[in-house]
Amino acid sequence: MKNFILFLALLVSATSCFAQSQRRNISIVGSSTVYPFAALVGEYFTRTTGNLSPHIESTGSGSGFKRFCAGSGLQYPDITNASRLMTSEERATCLANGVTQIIRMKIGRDGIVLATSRAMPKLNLTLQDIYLALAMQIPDPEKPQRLIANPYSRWQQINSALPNVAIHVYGPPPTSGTRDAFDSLVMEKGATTFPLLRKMKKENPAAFKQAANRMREDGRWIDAGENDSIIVQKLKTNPNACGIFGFSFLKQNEENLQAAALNGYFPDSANIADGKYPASRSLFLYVKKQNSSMVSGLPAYLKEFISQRASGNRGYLVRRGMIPIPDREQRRNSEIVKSMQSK
Amino acid sequence: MEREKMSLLTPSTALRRRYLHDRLFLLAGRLAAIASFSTIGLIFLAILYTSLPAFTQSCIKLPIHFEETAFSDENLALADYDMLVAQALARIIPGVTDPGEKEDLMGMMSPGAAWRLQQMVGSNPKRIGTVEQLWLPASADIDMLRKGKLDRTTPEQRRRLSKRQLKWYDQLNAEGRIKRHFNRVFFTAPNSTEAELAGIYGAVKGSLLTMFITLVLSFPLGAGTAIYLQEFAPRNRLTTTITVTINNLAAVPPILYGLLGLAVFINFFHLPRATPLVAGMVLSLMTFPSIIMASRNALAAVPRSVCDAALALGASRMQSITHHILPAAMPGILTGTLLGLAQAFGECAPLLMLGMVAFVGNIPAGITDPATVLPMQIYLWADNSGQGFPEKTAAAIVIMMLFLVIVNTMVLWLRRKFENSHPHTS
Amino acid sequence: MDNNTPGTSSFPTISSAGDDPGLEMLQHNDRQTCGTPFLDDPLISCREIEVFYGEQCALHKMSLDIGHREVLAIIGPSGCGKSTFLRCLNRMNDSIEECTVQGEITLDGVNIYDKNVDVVPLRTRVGMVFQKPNPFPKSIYDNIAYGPRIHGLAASRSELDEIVTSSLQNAGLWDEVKDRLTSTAMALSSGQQQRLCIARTLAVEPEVILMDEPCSGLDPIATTKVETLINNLSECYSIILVTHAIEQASRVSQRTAFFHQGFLVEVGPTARIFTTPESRLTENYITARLT
Ligand SMILES: Nc1ncnc2c1ncn2[C@@H]1O[C@H](COP(=O)(O)OP(=O)(O)O)[C@@H](O)[C@H]1O
Ligand SMILES: [Mg+2]
Repeated sequence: MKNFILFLALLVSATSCFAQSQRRNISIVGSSTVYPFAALVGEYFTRTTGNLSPHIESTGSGSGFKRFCAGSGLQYPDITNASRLMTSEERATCLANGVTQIIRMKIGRDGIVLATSRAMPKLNLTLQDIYLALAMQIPDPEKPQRLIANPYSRWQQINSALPNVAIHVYGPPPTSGTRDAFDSLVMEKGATTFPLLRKMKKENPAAFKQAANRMREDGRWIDAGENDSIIVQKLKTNPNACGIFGFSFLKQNEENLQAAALNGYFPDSANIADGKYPASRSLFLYVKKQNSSMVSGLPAYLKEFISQRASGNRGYLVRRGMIPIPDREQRRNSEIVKSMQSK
Repeated sequence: MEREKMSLLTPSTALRRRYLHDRLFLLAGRLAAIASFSTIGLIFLAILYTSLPAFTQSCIKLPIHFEETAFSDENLALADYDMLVAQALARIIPGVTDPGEKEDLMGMMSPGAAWRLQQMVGSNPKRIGTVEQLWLPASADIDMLRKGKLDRTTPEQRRRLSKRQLKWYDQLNAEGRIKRHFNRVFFTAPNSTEAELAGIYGAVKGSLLTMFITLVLSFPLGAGTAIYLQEFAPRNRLTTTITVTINNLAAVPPILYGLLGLAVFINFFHLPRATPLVAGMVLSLMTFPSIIMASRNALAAVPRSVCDAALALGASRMQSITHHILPAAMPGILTGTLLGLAQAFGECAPLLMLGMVAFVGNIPAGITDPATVLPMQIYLWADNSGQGFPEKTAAAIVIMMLFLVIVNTMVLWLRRKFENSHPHTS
Repeated sequence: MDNNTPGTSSFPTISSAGDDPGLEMLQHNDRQTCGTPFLDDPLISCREIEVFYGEQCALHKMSLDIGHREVLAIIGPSGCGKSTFLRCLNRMNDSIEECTVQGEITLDGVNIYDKNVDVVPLRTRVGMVFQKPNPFPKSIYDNIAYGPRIHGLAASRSELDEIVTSSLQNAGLWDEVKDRLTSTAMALSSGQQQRLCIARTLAVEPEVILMDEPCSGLDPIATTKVETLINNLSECYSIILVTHAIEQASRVSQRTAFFHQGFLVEVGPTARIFTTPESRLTENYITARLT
């Protein structure tokens, strides 16, 4: 056994020669919402430049930042996709680990939709309705000065205009960027419609976050895993359930699924692009500039990503469901890439 | 008391009851066998049936003009191949001017159509300036329509194809310009985000490279350890402990090997992530104990008489092992190795930790290129809600099963060989 | 049988169970083996050897000589240590981990249990044929050629052919197999397989051949053939033949040794042992067998 371990160690150290000083493929991690776009760009990039295909893992924005900020060597990812901004703690981790040159590029917008199967009547919800349906604790309707455990089991109990259907919502887990965005764009906004929680937000932000973001645990809210398509598939088989995921997945499955209107706005390109649809957010790429000299094709990949044929108003990403950003921001992106290429 | 003689012709009641029990038992056994076989058969048939559409691809015949003006740039990859496709479409369906309508028209073709053209021009630049009638892949929606998987009667706003597109489809169909071809792409291409372009070959090659590493590492190590432990090592407390440890290792959940691989090979030795090299190393750790156990059993099963005969002729211990025990045990050792490899081949859990759940859009050229493996590919496609992917998933499962059938046939063959070559076992 | 444990000072009582009538109450009064274990010019001589399997004594202190070109038959009931004794002579006991051999066995005056003795040449000089035919799962030719090949006895293919031919001829198998030398040995009948094993042993040209009940699995005709073979071989080789059939011992051997429960009870010229055994134990065994 000792011999074996020795042998193994020898073997492993011999194979360490493979640990390179150059990488032939780009390594990408991060948001599952951006993942299909990144992969599609990867394909066009590979076909036109002849580079190796990027290696793209769908890890969720949070894990993406964690991996991205772990260091600046070749064994760490070059790009992390995100459907939210990097937090200051994450930035601090990055700096502590020597990841000092980070470029942020806003590449598009996305809406978070609350979708149902087409068998269900169309929902028109306010953010408050959603908060009341999903939060673990809500203000007591009788005595609005205290929080009680969420008593609702049907949509109609919350708002008589809603259908008499049991509440069942599949959503992304806390590690996902979609969930972060849903928490801040929908749950917290819904919560602040109540004076109790508004007061709490001012006096004790931590407690407020806890109250607004804690999802109920009685089976009416179901964490459905990092991958949005799992939720889509759940809805196809369960006509009474709702699902929360990115807009592009809705576009891919319009045949079977429909989205609920939020505060009177349906998720469509126009409403998401100008932010009228409340649950809309921007998508980002965070690029490790330090790696651009060691990884072949990194600037070329970014160039493909922001090119007109990809992110332009009629580009292939847009046809896939990404909402394009205004021209001004697109021009800013091309300047960033140009500065990277010139180096 | 006189005992009555049993009639040879009419069985007694007791005997009859005995026969009844026999028959009931037989019946229960048959029912169980039928039930299990039909369940497995049904599942397999269902998968096979689902997979069938994946093996063909609808193509549209287009008159492509490789006009010289389109290839003004030195770099042929930069030419606008989409435009060539669009022009060809405009030729057979004239009069489309509205941008939205144009987009619909273009949406009938797969982006792979343009890539096909790029490939063709790249491999033979003499094509520039010629005109060819080419069968190019249609989009996944058209493909599904052609395969009868898309319902034309759903109301337009939630149908995947517009009224115009249906009309064009019927027109092209009437002209004989749409046909299902054998889907060669599926067997030769790497993964893609477009179902009609996604192929299994990248994953198959990744699996084969991984298995190669697994075999190269775990077979010599496993067989060598087994031979040492079985034939040479003294039987003492240390070797007993090692034996017990190895048996326990075989029962360790595979995911732990993944964690170990991540910590040691990737984070400590900085081996490249998601490569067949690392995957093979981790999987060989996993198959190693089972190869040792199978090999030891195979070695122990070789009749000692043959070994004795060699020793009595003056062969050394090593010679008696290499000349007689090993050849006799080899089929058993190989059987164990193949079964271990088959298990590793279908293993997903440890590879999850190594970054193999990922989009890899090219065929890995070597063991240090990022790759994915067949079961991972199945997992990724099963996860993909896009058009055409359920069929791809089923087809990948069929391919995977085919590989396993091949391995198991080899195992059977080796066993038979083993049984034939050793009549004086006992 | 706790009497047999080593270390008991007095000679143990030999008392067998009832299925061996007439043997109970018999007592060996001294360690002396009856008859004449010693020879003037021995090839192998065993002195005071003792064999243990772990704690259990399988062979009690005994001495015995084996001469040049003689056939020594060893008879005795099952489990009396015949095979154990045989295995001592070419150190096949080495591969049994718990087996220990004490005393001295010399071949041509060299102690074969000496630290410096190499078992490979020993086993080439002292060949062995086992109770159950154990040909290699290879061709007939390769079976015979195996020994010469590992010892490098043949310089060329034709020399090897010659060795194979003469070994098969000496073993009386040549006529039966000469047309199918390349076919597998496993297809031969068990009588043929046993003669093949003998031929394989002859091919390395030993001086002594140890045969452990070589006929126990064979039919009478095959047995006769092997006996004839032994008779012929005895002109050139010393043969130690373990057998259950006393008739066989009387037919082929010059001397016979009788073992009983790990003791060498009596040894002497075969004719005398079968007619006028000195020990009651021998007498009982022979008469029980013959009647
Ligand atoms: N490998 C062994 N391990 C332990 N005991 C053994 C072994 N071989 C033989 N014995 C014991 O030694 C004694 C003599 O055995 P053996 O020489 O095979 O008898 P025989 O050949 O006369 O029938 C028996 O009691 C048997 O149980
Ligand atoms: Mg015996």
